[in-house]
Amino acid sequence: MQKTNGLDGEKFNLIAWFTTGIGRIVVSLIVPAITFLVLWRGFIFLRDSDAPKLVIVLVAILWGVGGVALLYWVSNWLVEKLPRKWVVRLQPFIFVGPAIAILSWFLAIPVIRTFFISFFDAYSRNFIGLKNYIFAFTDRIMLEAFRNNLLWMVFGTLACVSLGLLIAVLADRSKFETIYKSLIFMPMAISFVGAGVIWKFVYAYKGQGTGIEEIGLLNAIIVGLGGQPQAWLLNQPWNNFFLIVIMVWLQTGFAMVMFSSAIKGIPSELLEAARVDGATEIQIFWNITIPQIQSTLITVTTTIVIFSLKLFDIVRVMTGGNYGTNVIANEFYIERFTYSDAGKASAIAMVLLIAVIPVMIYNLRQFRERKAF
Amino acid sequence: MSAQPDSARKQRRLSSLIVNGILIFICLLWTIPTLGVLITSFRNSEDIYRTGWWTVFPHSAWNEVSRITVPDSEDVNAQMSIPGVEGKYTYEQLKAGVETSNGQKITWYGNKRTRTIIVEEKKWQWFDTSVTLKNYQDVMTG
Repeated sequence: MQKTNGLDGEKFNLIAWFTTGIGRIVVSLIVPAITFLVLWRGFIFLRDSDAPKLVIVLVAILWGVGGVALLYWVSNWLVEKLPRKWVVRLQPFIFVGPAIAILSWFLAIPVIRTFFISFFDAYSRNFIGLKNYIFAFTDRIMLEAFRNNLLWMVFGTLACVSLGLLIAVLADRSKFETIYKSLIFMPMAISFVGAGVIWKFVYAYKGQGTGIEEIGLLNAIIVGLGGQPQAWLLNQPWNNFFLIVIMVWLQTGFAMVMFSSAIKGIPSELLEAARVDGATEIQIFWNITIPQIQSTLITVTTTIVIFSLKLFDIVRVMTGGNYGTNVIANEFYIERFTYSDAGKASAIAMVLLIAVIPVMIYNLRQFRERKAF
Repeated sequence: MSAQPDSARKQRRLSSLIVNGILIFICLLWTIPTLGVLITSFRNSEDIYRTGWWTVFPHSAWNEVSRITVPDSEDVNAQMSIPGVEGKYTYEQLKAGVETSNGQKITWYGNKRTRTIIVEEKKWQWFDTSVTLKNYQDVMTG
């Protein structure tokens, strides 16, 4: 009996062979090896090939999507070969693993590296202790940037949220709601640099003299009313507010859309009951609408606060941070890319990160309360 | 609800008017800057830096009708009498532009040596005809 069984095996029964111990090990080595080889060859091809662009693009898509699928499939297949206890233990990591790897590679490691570099000099060679942080917290330029960021945070957020709320509440009562909302939302689709160009035509200032016609809308209005043209972007500290207006113009649409959907979610019985009881519209707004959309209110506010803390583009495009309009992110940019001071720039980046973290944590906690996570 | 009292309906119409009025006002504020860039995109660069984008719309503007040369006998550092114009004016006054009684505006051109005065008349201008698609052509074809 035993002999016949052995003979059957020697007949090179492929399936039977795969199920033997050695066969299993060989297969579980060969399959990953082939996978790796395919991916590697694909990478080499994409890197060195002179093939037509179209072929390269197609191969890249196939290689990228197929490669990821193949990796998942092979590693899953490998783990499933393990004993049951280990399958349960390891399988989650196969699916979470790549996400963790990407997150740490693109987020955690750069943060740690930046933190490390912030203790070194401009060329990241010599350790200079807390010098960069002393600069970041005491330098005149940085203090100005902090003050301006505070202005952005308080006035920008306040204006965005209150205007967004006003428009959402009013539009809810109008027949032409969609038209108003799309018009207000439109600037959201415009890039910050584009917005800079747009607002240059509002704030443009040509100076005083005869025969000069202002091409800036604001100055034209002022002159038309008999006033003197103003250099809107030069007069401190008001130029900060004129820049904040640009952010409000861009971001109110976001606030409005969020508030609008929250307002639509308020049960109509509640509003009807209040109206039957004789509440005025203003009472309804303060005592029903506001409490009902509170969580959206907080989310939108914190989002815009974070946004205004890391604001960069508008200042960069409109004034370049001159004339007392500098902000933290712009100072970071100048230190890093104009003065090439990696140390100071990293210290500023860390300060900015630390400034944003409390708001982020608060925001995430709100999300959790609303079961968004 | 069909038997609504007249005053309530009036009230509702009024509030709807206010709501729409405010919204239209905000929407205008929101779209005018973009409109400015849209119109600017059709103008040539010389016009863009010379006049505001709103000048493509009908408006009345000063248009040059003639030029006067101030005779050499007049001292540019004192009050001058200009041929064909009543009264005497200093260089500074003329430089800033003077509106004459017949609705014309006279402005000194350039520095004191030019001795040239531009006479302008207010004329109603319809839509600007110098708007073109040239900028778009340049952008699209590189």
